[in-house]
Amino acid sequence: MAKISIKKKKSPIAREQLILGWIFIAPILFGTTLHFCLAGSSLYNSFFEYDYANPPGKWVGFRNYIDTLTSPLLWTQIKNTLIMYGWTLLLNFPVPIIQAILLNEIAGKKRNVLRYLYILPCAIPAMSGMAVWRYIFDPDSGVLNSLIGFFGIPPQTWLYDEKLIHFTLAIPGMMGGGMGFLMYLIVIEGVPKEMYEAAEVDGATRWQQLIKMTLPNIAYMVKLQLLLNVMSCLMSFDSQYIYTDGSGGPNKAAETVVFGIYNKAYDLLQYDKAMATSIILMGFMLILLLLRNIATKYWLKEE
Amino acid sequence: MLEQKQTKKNKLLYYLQNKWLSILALCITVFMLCVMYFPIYWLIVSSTKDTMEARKTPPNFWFVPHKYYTVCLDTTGIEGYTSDDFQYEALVLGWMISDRGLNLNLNGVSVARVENNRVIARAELSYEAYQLNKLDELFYGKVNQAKIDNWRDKGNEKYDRLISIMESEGYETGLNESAVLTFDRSDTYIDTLTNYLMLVTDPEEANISDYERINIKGKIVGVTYRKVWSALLNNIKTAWEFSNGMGHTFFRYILNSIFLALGFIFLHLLFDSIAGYSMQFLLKKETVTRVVTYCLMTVPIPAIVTQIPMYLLITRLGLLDTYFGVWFSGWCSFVNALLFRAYFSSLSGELRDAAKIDGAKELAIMLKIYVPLAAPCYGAIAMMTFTGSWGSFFWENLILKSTEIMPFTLIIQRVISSGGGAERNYTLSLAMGLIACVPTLFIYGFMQKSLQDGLMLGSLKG
Repeated sequence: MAKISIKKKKSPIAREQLILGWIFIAPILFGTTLHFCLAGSSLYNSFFEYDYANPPGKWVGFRNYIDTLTSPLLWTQIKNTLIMYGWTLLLNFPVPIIQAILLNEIAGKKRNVLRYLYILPCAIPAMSGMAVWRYIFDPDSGVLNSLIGFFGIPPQTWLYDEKLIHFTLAIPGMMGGGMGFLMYLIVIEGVPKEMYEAAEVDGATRWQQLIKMTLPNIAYMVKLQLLLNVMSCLMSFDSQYIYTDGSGGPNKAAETVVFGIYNKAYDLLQYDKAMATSIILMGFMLILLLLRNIATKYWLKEE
Repeated sequence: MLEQKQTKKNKLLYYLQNKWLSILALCITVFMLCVMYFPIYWLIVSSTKDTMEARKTPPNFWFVPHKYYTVCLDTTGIEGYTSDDFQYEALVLGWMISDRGLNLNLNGVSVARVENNRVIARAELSYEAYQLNKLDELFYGKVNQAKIDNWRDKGNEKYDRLISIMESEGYETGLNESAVLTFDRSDTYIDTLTNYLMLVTDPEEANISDYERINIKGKIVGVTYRKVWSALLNNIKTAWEFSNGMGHTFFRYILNSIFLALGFIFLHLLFDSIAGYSMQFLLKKETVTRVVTYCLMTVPIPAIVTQIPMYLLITRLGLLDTYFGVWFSGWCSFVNALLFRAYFSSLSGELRDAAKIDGAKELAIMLKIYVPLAAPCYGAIAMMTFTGSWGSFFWENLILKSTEIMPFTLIIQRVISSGGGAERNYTLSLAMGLIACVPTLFIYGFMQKSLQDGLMLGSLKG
């Protein structure tokens, strides 16, 4: 049967609705388009030797990329980023999960009070936190040195020690709590209670319930958070900048790739190399995303 | 009887077997909470300490009252004794009394003169004022000289060691009429006896240079100190008055932050909500899907790729060093629009139809019906934007250059990084951090409900 297309005549009301709809969405669309244009500009400018007064400057092809990729500084920064991410993954990532799981085990009024106490430190602005941690990490008068001195370990120079600085920068994140914790708690509380009751009827102890039922159910959230964690950690900048006073740490040990880009762009005014590096970073992240997509498809296929 | 005991024991065992996880979880949770709250506790306690107390190891875990020294000097019969003389002699004595070697444990030394033939110099100069070079040049040298005189008078072997070291370095040491140890001054470089004293107390750190000589004319009658608890707020007062010479208080910076946050809130609430409304009610479904796909394509692009061109754009637009530049960097957020859309989808679309039948215009429908209904969502998004803007550092650091318009985050960062080495001024930055906590605590306390909603929405946003 042939399709008959009927042209709907737009009533003034419908037209007004559509026009207003487009007007309302215009700012967001403009913002997104601007975002794409800026990214494209970054890509475009990275092929030139950027001349601030007369952009974009002289065409140099891939020279910026080659210069960046062959400079040992970039590889030091990549190494630093990976080490720092490793420590963050080890120390910071499990903490909210453990906190949420443990809080789930506690029942009654205590639970609400404790949950509120976990969320309350969100009220402290990040900068105050960094001021306190700088003080705690002080080699001469910080609490941390006194604390480990109590156990007989000699005092360390924390933020000034190039071997320790990656570990040190991961310590403030070990506190947990806040929004990340809340997310996990919501997921854990979302696990249906009937499952637990059925397991209890079957004679499972609380511990078995925890291991075999709670953990697999939050696995999807953990995976999602892991991905987000990777992306946000590779792009973190504030803590490296503030804890090292804008320098790269002792012997440039705290410089991550993002820090390097910041440094090149705003301190050395080498915008072209900075843009090239940021494109390289984007490429790296796209590869990561691609790998993750392939891995997920592979896992799904297995099941 | 035996059976009763048995059942009791069984009950206990049963209880433990089933509840052990709960009890363990409670213990570990409390421990984790203590660890989490320690930095906050430390912030409050340390920001009240004075600088020297803050540099003490091991630190005192509770509040430490500041010490105010009272020195009684008899100045009868001394000619030409001015109040300046008074000031330094009292300082010298105050310092000597604390006698902690090179730790200038001043703890608040200043001078007030009481005419009584007996003059009382009361210690009230805070270490911060000292650090700002109010009496630095005069004090340092004189104090150390007084220390040396004290050693000599008490027959301390450190005195003999000092003399022998200095004589072996070729300095002429001698006694003049006032029985004060004097050294030759070879040039005008004013330093203290610190380094010589270090030779005696800590030989590896010593570094020789030249000295100034001092006298103490007044006769010491007595010295006491009192512990002042109200001085704990001194640090907060200093932080409040911090203005880098500009004549305004720290509150100015907090107001700057609030102003920035309000701008962000206004921009976000305006643009994101209308986008959400439009996606839910005004546009066709296919358009919406296309729009969403288009906007979600920005997600794989990391933020740094657009940061540098954005900075260059802001500079070329002439928005550098203005709030508009900062607002330009983050005025809309597609994720917020999606949140608004989700909330609007929970509201009934039939209200629109009913209003249209009554002849209402689109804009009126939105403003009069849906915006009031979506008030919780507005509140939550406002909360989230406020929190995000309150702690944001990167763009403000990049764009704002003049101190008067900086938000407090930049000021704290500059204070943290300005001190280097021995002069690192922790108490100032800690006190500023403490002041900065107050507005957010205020908001968290009074706006708990919408904050919970905000966190819920934020957690959904992921």
